[in-house]
Amino acid sequence: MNSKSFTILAPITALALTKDDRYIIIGSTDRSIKIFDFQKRQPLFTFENVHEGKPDGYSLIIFHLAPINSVAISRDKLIIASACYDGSYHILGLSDTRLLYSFKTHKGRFLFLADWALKILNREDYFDDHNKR
Amino acid sequence: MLKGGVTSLLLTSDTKYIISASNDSDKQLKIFDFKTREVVCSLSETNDCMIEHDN
Repeated sequence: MNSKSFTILAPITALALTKDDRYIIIGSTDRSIKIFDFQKRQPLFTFENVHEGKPDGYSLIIFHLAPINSVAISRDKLIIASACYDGSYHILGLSDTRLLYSFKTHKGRFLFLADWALKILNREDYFDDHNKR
Repeated sequence: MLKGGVTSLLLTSDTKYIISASNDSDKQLKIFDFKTREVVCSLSETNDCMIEHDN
């Protein structure tokens, strides 16, 4: 049995898996994004919300103000996109664990928009997907 | 067994595992073996990360 690192305190609302099945990206109603190493079966990193208190050494502050409803990760595992119910989305760099972009352009919910944001940012993947259709 | 409503499901590319997220207050993330339907790993509020058994 293995017990380590992050705790999930709120319902999970979004999941994403890297193409190589290595990492699971977990979005939840507590507005945090967690990275779980699927192969090693252990938590890896937490992008935590600024309003949820002081983050620990494994956390980075992000600024979602509502529950996360969609997460996605790029094929190269370098970028995570997250969207939330307040109509904003974040683009996070995984290699250096920092916030790259933050947008709020819609009033309503961003349903599945994290996937869309990643496709726009990674144009090669975007066109590949369209060519397959 | 999942007690809460399932909010998200994933299948690994090798179709070996199902990853399930739910509103279950006990164990919110479970990884099932696709063939045997047994829980391989679960994340919970109380146990942080608990591997029940691993293949």
